[in-house]
Amino acid sequence: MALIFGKPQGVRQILPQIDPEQFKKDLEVLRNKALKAGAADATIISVFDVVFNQEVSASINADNKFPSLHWPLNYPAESVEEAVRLYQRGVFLRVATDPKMPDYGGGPIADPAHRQMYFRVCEIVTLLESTAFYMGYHLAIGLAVGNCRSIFCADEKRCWGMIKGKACLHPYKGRPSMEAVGIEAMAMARKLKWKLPRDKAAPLLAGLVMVG
Amino acid sequence: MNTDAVVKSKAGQGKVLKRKLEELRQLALDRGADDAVVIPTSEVIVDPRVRLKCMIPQCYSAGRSSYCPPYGYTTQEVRDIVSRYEWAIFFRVSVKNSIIAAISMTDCVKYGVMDNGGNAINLGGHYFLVFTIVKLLQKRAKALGYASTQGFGAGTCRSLFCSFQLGCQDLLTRRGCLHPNLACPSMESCGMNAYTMAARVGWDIYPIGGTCQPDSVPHGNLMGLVLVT
Repeated sequence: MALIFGKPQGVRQILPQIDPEQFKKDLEVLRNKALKAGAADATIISVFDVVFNQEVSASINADNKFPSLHWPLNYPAESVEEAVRLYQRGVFLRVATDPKMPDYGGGPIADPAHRQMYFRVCEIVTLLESTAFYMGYHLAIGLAVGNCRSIFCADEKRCWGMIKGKACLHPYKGRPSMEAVGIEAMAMARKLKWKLPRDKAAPLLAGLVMVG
Repeated sequence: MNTDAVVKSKAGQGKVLKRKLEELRQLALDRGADDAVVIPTSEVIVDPRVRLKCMIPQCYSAGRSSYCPPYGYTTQEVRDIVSRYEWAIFFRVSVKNSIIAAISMTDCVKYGVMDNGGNAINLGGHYFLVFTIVKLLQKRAKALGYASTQGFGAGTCRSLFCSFQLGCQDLLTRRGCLHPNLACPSMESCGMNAYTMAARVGWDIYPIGGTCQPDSVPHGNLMGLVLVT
């Protein structure tokens, strides 16, 4: 079932400074929204819980047979880390996966049911990002999982966003993955003691929305 | 020159500067800005998250103009530019909610088409006004003796000045900008957090996205900045 992105309710004015009490309440709203939308786990985290690992982004850079705007990320990695480190808190979430699901990496996702699971992460992430944006956190940012081209543009010969002068076909849905940004989702999940599938080969379908 | 003379001279220069900055602020108001303030450049917020937001989710202009990310000035370059100045004119042009949050606007932006209600062309006019005010302020500042100014508009120059071109000439051919006397980078493409800056000078500003409708927000704002001295 697709999530409905309707007219935003109660768009809030952007404040000169974030109100800490309101921020706490808003994060809880976002976390509940993630769970309601189908996340198996959703946790409010501090920016210090975000684990950057250069090996992760290096492995993504090596896995470039199905390149897209967001895989490998067409943006200086050090700028991304610097930017992400400026957020205060975020909501880290995951969706339940099929234990038999292989790790597709950045390649095409053959099984439509598996593609649907990746799609679900993107949907929840964009929902939370959009909600946070209208709450007045205009810099809220969402990071999803996998290669957006495998999820949304598998049938396209090229990623349109990569063609000079052309734009992304799905700007409102496609998000870079946590791993493409260099964030090690598995290390974060272990730190939070989430109950993960026992099969270590099964990928972790996690997303992150940074706010504030 | 003795110490008293130096102090008097500096005080005099300060008065002259204040008068010139006020003249520029007034010019912005006279030419169509709804508000304009003189701010010290220490209040210009350069934040790498803003440029990241141009890319995630990808703005329809990102990668389509030589001023927009991933091209254009890096955050560090902008910090260096801002640090060379002391004062800036920051202004806003208000846009009616029925225009900026029109239901048809999402498709206009997404597909680069006009709507029957004329909202897209009307919004374009507001953006054009921002760029015009920036250029007028720069021109006037030059006449006042500030030869080296730097201007920043709102949105993207490509949609305004080159929407009928196949692409941004500077980006595609490196033959330079088609409209160097009109175009300039926008505040957001340079990583300036215009929204928070606006909130800090007391302007009411709302986030406006693709799912907004006219009654979602009271109005919209487009901001511009000119670094003067």
